[in-house]
Amino acid sequence: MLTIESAARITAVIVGIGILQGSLQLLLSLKEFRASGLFAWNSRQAMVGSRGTSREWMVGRTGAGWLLVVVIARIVGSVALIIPFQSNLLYASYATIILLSSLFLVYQIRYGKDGSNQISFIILAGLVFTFLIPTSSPFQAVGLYFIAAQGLFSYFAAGVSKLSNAQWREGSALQSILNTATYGQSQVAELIRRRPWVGGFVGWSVIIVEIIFPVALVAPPGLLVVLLFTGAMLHLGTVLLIGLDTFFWAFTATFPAIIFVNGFLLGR
Amino acid sequence: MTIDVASSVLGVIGTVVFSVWFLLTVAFQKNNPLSRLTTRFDRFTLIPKWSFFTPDPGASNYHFVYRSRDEETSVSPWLELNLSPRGMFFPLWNPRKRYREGMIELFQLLALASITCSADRLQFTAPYVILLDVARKRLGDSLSLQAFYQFALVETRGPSGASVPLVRFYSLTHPVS
Repeated sequence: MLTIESAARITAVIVGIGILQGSLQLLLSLKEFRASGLFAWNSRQAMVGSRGTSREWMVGRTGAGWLLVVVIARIVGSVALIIPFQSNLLYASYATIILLSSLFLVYQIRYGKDGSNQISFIILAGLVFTFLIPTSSPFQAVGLYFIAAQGLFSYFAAGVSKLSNAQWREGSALQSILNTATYGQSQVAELIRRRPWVGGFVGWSVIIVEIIFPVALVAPPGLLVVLLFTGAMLHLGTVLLIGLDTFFWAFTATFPAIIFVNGFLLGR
Repeated sequence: MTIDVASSVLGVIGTVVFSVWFLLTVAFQKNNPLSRLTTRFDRFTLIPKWSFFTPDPGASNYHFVYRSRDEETSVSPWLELNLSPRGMFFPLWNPRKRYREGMIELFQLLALASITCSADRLQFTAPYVILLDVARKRLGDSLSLQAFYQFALVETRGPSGASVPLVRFYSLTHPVS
């Protein structure tokens, strides 16, 4: 259904959009990382762990300056990753730049990371590998196998984790989440409170979709489309209701690799 | 020929690295000796734990409040840091998300540490020091050198004002100087 090249390119475009969105938001929050900003403690944490002054460049005005350089490099790298018709070597270098900048950000900003950062890192690692290996090599698809395996496993593990939780099984978890000031939507929470079966139905639908998601690996085309569409809608729902904006791009970026591996396994 | 050998070597290394990475991810989902070892050495959090909205589906609201006390004056009212401001386009544009999630992570770490650490040791833990710094910065230049300040973590359930606030943690009172 998809060749290695096309699957890698579509993955790069989707993950690139997500990284661009996240990096632009980070660019606008940079004032919080300066010495007087609310986020200064994040960079100071790097100093606490260093037991010395060798990392002084990471704090204060110099630290904020380096952070700006890294964020701009991410923005340029993600835009370059989205632009079509370039060589694999160039795409590999853009993905490497973003990958290295991700390591720097994880080190510098210790708190507040989420699953979208982790899956994006996994995708970029797989892409760098796929773009670096020559098209003639039997190893070129390994990066895509890795992305597909991690993507499918993420849904399965999240589904099993929800299944073992009483609130999710009873159908009250969704209302609890939407009822909070932090993640919530009071109108939707009120709707679920008045019709508890809606919360139960949606909650169980999420659990079932997540657990059966790995079936996508060997599903016939019709079922594959249904599973991927349902997965995308699940993420769109969390974007609209909970505000997990970067999750949509990060997790749907694994879908082209899943389609590729599905085609490979079923001999299409 | 040289390129073929190099790409084959790279291919084998990549296959091994990705296989180990994936197997560690699978093992990391449950609390076991291997996952504890991984947590200890995984400085870059490369090994993910896929447990969205579990084990706690996130039914609590966390509030960070702080106040000051001057030598001559009485204690100021508690002030709250607003962690949940949302713009109209928050599904597309949510730049405060990282800050908010970082603060919530710190609250949870501090609440956890308060169970296992004595009050004396707790004030030297990273979450305590960082949150104290946030309170100090929020109070800003209004504090005199003789003033004292403290912070507290408060938990509520449901929408704003719907439940009785539960104080999860009070910090000690610290001198500005």
